[in-house]
Amino acid sequence: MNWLRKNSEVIILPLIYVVIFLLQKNKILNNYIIQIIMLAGVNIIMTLSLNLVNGMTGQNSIGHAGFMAVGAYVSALFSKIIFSAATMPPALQTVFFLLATIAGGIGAAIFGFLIGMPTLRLKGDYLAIVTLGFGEVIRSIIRITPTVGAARGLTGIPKLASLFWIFVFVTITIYVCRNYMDSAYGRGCLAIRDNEVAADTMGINTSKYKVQAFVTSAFIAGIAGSMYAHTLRYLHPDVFSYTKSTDFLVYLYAGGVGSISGSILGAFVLTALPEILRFMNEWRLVIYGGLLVVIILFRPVGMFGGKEFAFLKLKTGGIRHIGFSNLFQRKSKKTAVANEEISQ
Amino acid sequence: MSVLKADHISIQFGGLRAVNDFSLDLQEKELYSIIGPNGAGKTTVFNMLTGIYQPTEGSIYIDGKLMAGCKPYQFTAAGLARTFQNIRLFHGATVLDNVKMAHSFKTDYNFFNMLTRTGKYHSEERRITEKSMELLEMFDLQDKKDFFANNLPYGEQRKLEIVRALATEPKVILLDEPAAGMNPNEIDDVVNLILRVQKELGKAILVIEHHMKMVMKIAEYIKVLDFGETISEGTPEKVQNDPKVIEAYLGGHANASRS
Repeated sequence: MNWLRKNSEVIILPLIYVVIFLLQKNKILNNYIIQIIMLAGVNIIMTLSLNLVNGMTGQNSIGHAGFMAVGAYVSALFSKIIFSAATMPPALQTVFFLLATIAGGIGAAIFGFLIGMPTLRLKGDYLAIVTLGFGEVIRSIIRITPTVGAARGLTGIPKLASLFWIFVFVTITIYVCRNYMDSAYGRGCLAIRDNEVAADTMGINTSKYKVQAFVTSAFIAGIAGSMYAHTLRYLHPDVFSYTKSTDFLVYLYAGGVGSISGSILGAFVLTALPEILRFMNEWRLVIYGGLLVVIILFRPVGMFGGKEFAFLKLKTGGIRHIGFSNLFQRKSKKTAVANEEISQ
Repeated sequence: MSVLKADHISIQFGGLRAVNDFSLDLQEKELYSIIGPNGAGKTTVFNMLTGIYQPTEGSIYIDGKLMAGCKPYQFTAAGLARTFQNIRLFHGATVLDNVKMAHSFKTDYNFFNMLTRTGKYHSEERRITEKSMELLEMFDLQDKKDFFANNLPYGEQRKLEIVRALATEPKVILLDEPAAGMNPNEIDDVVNLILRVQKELGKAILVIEHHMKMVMKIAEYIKVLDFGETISEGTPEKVQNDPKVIEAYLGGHANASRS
């Protein structure tokens, strides 16, 4: 037990995998549920990637599905056209699958760099505008490019992703995000989020830190895209529309922006919920929407805002104060006024 | 040795010359002060000295190094730290994290080490935490290390801002109205704090302050600004009795106000 507590960060996630694997082997979980768990894994990776930008660095990327699209298409092309991986022995397939995934990540990271470099040097919300545009531009480009299937979509991608690989990548992403936040680099980003002017005078090269976080985030989004492509085996440009980006934002803000645990929980719960509510037919989306309103009303920082699972052993943290956090709390009005008076 | 030197700096915003021909030479362990009525250009001088504005004329040297065209973070790396008139703490982070954040740019491990926790990651993190705790203990904030910065009382927020500035290991600290909004007791604390930073830690300090009693008590040399011009400078006694200063503060002719 003591050993478990000491090594909780490296044990817990593989343990969860073993449990799911055993349940699957004994036919308790059917393929439909496994598929949902796999999609939830992809969403967890995406939400964690978004958390690096929106939660940790305090910049707003609202077109993150664009990076996912780049990762998905690059990796799918890699494994489908260049290698035709379907006819290879399994060991080689796995190697090419990992190569394709990394290629997808690098492709997305290159776009992240090209977008982040000019926009993140500015202070303000320019990143939101540019990423919004980027998501739509990428989608339109894919729609008119015949080599990637144009508007018909890209079919015949080999099914290489499995529950195991998605679990591996979710685990790696969680550890990378944890390590990022708990380091000088992450603290620099948190400083930028809380007060950019002060961060600048504390010796933090703000544009460099912002670009680093953004490119890392784009890389992770590309990996999520590759997982998505190799799970569903079919890609359509309209999947990566603005609605998809909004989904990830909803997972992030409902789960708790700035919190790694919140991102994991938000993505998992809100992916599973519409499926659990499926017996209610058309009412399920009403319930889903109602739940989001309730979360924002009673916990404006999100379900896990400012909190972390103990097993992650995060030392750095804090709350991202979003604009409307005081809106619904009558008692905090007085202190808000007092704070304003002091700052003048 | 000169740690902060401003050589005839001026700044022009369109047709307005906000600061004209300002010079300063701050040596190690010295405590200078800039005073002046509202709108005299004090904070503009600070913003030029910290790299937020680029002076249109003249040049700034930190520790003998010319800082032309440098960004604020390069000024900090060269050995300059500042606090703000309206407190700018990292309010969503804890007190300890606030101080640790100021260490960010001096960490000796790279991006890959950080992601995989290899190399010097663990030893560096330990060093940063120990150093931050040392600073917090020195200024009696160690019991509040897990508080969120915006939950601290006002006086301690000011103190934390100074501690955070010290964490960048500067040679010179610029304090922008450290006693603003404080009662007389708290002002005494601030005076002690500033003198400790100067005497015990041996930092050079430049203070902007409206509170005359405090300035006269701590400053070794005072520069008086009015409408961007340096109208008087010298020891506190000399400045206090300068008719030009009295005119700037009280208005009217110097002779009339003297009598």
